[in-house]
Amino acid sequence: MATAAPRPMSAEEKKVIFASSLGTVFEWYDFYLYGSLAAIIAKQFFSGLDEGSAFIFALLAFAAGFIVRPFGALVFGRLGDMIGRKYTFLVTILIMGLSTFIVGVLPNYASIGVAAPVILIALRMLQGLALGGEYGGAATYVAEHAPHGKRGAYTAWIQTTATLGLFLSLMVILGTRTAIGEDAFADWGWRIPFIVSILLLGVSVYIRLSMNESPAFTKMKAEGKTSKAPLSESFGQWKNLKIVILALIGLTAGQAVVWYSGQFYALFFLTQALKVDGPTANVMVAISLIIGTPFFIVFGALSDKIGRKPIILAGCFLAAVTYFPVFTALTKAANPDLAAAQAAAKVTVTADPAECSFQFNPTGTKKFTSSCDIAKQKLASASVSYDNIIAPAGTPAVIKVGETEVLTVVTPEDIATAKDGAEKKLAELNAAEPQDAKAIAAATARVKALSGEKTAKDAVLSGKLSAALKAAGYPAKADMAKFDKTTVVIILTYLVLLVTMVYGPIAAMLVEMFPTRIRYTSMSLPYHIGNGWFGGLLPTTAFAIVAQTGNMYNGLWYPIIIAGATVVIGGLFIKETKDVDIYAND
Amino acid sequence: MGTAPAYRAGAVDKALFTGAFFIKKGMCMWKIAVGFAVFAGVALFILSKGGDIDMSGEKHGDTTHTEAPAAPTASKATSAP
Repeated sequence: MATAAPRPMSAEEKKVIFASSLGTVFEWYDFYLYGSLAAIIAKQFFSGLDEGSAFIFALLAFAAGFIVRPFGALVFGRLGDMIGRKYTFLVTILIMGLSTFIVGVLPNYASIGVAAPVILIALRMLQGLALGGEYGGAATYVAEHAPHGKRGAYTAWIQTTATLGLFLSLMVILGTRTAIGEDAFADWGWRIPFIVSILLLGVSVYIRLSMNESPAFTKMKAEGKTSKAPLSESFGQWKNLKIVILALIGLTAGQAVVWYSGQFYALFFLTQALKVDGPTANVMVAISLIIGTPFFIVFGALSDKIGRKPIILAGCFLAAVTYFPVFTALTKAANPDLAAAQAAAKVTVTADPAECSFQFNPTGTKKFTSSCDIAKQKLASASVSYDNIIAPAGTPAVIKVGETEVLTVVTPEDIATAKDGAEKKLAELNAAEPQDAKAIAAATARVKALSGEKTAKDAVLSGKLSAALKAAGYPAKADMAKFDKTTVVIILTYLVLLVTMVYGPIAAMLVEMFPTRIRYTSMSLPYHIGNGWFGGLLPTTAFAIVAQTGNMYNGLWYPIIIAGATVVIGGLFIKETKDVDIYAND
Repeated sequence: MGTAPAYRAGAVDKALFTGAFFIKKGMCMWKIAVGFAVFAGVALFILSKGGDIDMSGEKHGDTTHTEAPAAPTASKATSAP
């Protein structure tokens, strides 16, 4: 296959990339808005629900992300292969944008009752459906406009939009919060970021309306070769279904876990496992994203030269072999006291195995209440590594920190003693001059927790365990004087670079794996299953593994195994696609 | 000797054309790079001033988490766009 002579990007191609990327910026903006404003949205829309209704809404919210998106990939992928890319992803952005905007003007539970959460969930479902069609449309549209030999470089621009969407959401949320104050933001100001999205929608629709249909689809339509049934062609014929399955296991599954580990699990690990304060961890991650983001383009362009497969699989391979040493180094750089305590103090959980569950809870609806589960949950949350010892059947779990035993069974006397102590401490803090507002707030919260019927036992156990861990040298927070910022940024940047290796060339590769007539449908599904299911389940699976095994690094086995499987399956069965003529099989 | 000036002129033209091409192409990339740097710088500045915000994206199960006792943060599954 002869390659096209190198030429600069034309104005039309720049417009194509810009229009497509704006849609994906929108996706990411929305993704981060919901993450950042989750607590406020829950308070506005779900706080008045009874337990049963809340359970159903939790399942529906879960479905919006995990089931509706791949379903949207099928619905809009089919449309895109039948009526064209341009009109389909015009529809997806309209649905997505209007749903986001309407959330901003939707009355809350206090105003219209249960209709508020019902409408909110319906809007989330619509968004999920549209999101399922958006990425595949953008990737296909850009790749079909790109000259041969440049598809990697051109489609890589779409991949940079995650960082842009994150920064845009940060600027709008933090800017609004600072301008109007915390209270007003929680009351009504949270609506502004959703309403502001109408501007992004207006620009996106205006530009997309002026775009032409992709040349590949136009040619195919002119020849009367468009698919009449893209779904049955994609998934009903083994020769295509086989490639869809391979694209999922041999590419997107590994890409997704590497991406989630680098961008989300690293942040979670810093704040939750290493006890670094949120603002510092956010700035560290943001710096590493700024350094790493241009490498999406670098690896996309490099994949046009040396191939997509070696870069994506090298990223997965490096992740699989370096995650353990890299995350261990992150602990030493961010919280050396924790690393020292883990090495010095032996902690055990003695429990009846029948009481211990695998704490996998993707919908957030399960409650783990046995003494073993509570003990493990508390230790895993405190980043304590522990050994499991089998106890006779029916014995309540016991935590042992060094020589100190912490019983998980809490008696009314324990609660009364703890409450007396907490009230005395609060009185002392109130009497002290000058007053320490933070300490008073913490002491007040503890007294409140010890007074509550449902929360008292948990508060007593937490208090006892905290005291035992403190005595054994476990820090409650990372000591910022010992926090090595440079090393942390270097490590996080390395993790982001792995993300850029796997994610930069993936859109071009997925596009090149399928013929034009079923491309939109066939590439969207493995992308959304890979990223939504394999990637989206990473945090909850990793936590369950940590709680089960008692080692805070063991959660890494999940991305390591998935990325390793992708290296093997992708290496053996996926063919290089950079030289594929995407018109060849039309 | 007689062809040298023409050769030189051609070479200069070619060099100028190539230079202009790269400057033009480079400028476009530079504009994007500078734009990104300014955008990222502003975001970083706001982040360092504004402080605490959840950057981990959309999570599921949040509808009940306001009331869930001792629910670990990690049990919230994150779903990408």
